[in-house]
Amino acid sequence: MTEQRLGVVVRGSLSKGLELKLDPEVRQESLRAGMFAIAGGTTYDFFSLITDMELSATTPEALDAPPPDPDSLLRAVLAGDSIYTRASLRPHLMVDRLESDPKKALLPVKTIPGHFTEVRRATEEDVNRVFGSEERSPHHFHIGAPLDMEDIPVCLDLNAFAERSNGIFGKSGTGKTFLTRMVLCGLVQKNAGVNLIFDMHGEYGWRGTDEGSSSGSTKGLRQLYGPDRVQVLTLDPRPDIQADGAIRIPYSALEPEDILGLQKAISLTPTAAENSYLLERRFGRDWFAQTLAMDTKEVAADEQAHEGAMAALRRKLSRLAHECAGFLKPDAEVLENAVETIMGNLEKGIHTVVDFGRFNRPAQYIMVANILTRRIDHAWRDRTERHLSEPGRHAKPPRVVITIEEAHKFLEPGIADQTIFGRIARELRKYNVTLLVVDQRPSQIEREVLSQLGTKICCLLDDDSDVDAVLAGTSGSGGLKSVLASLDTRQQALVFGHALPMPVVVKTRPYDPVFWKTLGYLEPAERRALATRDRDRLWE
Amino acid sequence: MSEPLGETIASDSQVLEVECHRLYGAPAFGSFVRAACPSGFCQFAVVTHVSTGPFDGNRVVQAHRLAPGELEERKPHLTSLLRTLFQARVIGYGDDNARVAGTPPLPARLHCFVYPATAEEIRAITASPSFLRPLVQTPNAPLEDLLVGAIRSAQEAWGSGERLVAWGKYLARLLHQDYVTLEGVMHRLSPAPMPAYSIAPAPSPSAHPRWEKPLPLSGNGKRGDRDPFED
Repeated sequence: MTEQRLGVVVRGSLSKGLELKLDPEVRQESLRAGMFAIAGGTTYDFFSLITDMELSATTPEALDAPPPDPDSLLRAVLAGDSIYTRASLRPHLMVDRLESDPKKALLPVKTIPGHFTEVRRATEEDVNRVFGSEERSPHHFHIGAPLDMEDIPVCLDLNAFAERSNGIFGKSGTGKTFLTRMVLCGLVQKNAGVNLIFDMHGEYGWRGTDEGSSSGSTKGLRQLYGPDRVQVLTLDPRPDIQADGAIRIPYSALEPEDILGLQKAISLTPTAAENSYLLERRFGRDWFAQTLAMDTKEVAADEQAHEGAMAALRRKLSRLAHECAGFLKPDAEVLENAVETIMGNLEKGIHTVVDFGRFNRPAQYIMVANILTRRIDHAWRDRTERHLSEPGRHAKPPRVVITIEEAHKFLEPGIADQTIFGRIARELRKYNVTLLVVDQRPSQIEREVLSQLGTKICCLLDDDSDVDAVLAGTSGSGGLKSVLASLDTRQQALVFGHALPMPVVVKTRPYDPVFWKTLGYLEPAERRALATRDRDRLWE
Repeated sequence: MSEPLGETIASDSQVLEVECHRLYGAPAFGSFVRAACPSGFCQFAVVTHVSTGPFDGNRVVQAHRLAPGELEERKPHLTSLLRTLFQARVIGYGDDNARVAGTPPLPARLHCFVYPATAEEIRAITASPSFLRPLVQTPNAPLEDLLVGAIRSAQEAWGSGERLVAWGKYLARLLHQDYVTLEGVMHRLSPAPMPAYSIAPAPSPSAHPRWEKPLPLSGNGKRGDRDPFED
């Protein structure tokens, strides 16, 4: 793509951004909200996003009596001067043209270019300069292309991405799951972290759904990478997926904190939920099994607790035990500790997908995710502390990225500060555990947690409260708001935050055989042919 | 060099007043003319007003009720009592080496001969759209017609409409408070240009018979076309 002039800067301020007067020969319709534009100042290139466009006129009478014929001389005469288009630009990055070190060249915007600074479209070189490229950096992963620049890759720095908790948002049907699958592939491919994925709807493990394909399904991580790198552990073993193990959770694995996280899902009052701490103190590790069998009246009297609340807790826990009977078992029935298997996998660097199968009700999902995550939290804290005290003897634990769907159920205001996920989002970065939050209602997630997310990948959101929530605490959010609201319903996302030097709207890569090939995936027939060829070469 | 149209009989920095050498021999309204000064320095102007009337301001012109053509034939002396004048707004100056749009340092001398500007001269003066500015400021002229006439003349010299949009854009800025005039000018310039309107100048006196054609006599006298004074 050749460099192309768009117009000149005519107004601007550091707080409100720049105003571009479009050249008459530039068609307004060739521009899009969210497109890159570069204002070439005397020393710096100001990398900006187009956030808004407006039709203006110096001759208001022309608007009252518009030239009727689109090809008329009058319209040609008025176009571009008397009537013209203004575009609002939000500079996000200054690039020092004379600095050769790319890290030093990229600077936050602290000034503005002068009047009549020429503005042009970005080129492939510009995009590579800012976003890096897979060829030049082992940590960069191609996630898509900028708007209207389909052949130019935009890369995510996955090392920076995995350093902090991140979010993928978008309303239902906007390609959130595809995007998540692709980011997860990137994390596996670039070894940026070990994934623990709580796969509520069976989208990431063995296979996922694809409304666009004839079979209605697409390959999951396990098919692409094989059991040496990705394993699927399921709560609901069934013949149509190739799982690497079943998960059975003993009653004793449940802790009062898990019940606290389930309050809303099982309709428990806060008082009743807190009674679980009393019961744990009374019965010890086996409190869940004992609670199911206890005499409520007696225990309530002994503990000076409210009898009604205690009865409610017992009733709800019985229901929970019944709903989760498929995988939540009395201790005696659980032979293999799935928690240990998962921890072992993560330590070995094997990405693990927890498949829920039929057990995908919120209560079941939240409970399992809470139990497993809490264990990891304890273990990783412990190992990190040991590493910090004796770095020579104890290795740092690998970086774990925990993916949770329907994240607002874990991180909603009121419970986020009490559950393990709220803690991870806020502080566990230090212990090498981060979250990848996938959700369609970010406004339901506690603000404090949202503000801690390093990188946000947002597909279309049209609810104002969701848009505000996602952009809270982001500089220049006013401009990004209009960009976010104008995304296509599919395959487009606004990506901004820690893993990128500046916000960018990308057309995401399709998750298809071409993509799989770039990951090194071979179809079984190809794999067999390669094996035969290698074998033959061995004896040549 | 073409035949002179006339000569300046009054001038100032903005306006030339020219008396035509031939009755009705004025250039078209809105056309470009060149006043050639003896020093070789020329002034370029656009015709903004054309008039014909008696030399003697006290003389009253009366209707003769004669058919077209008949008047000149029967009263050839009238041509020597009348004159055609035109005014032109100065828009530029220069010599053979350089021609620029703008007001000349000094007004044209009186009795300078005035010629139609050549296509090359018009192109040089209208290369920048700023020639339109003095025209827009011309007082007492029908602005829309003047602009249409001048732009058509310039367009003819360029041989194409390539400059039309650039001139139009400049005009749009000059007329930003007079959109109606701009709209009118552009509307009239849009269709194929109208054929230039011109009045054939009066034939020179030598082309006419020296005498008036006799009026038909009443009665039975059979004088025919014979001159009565020859008797």
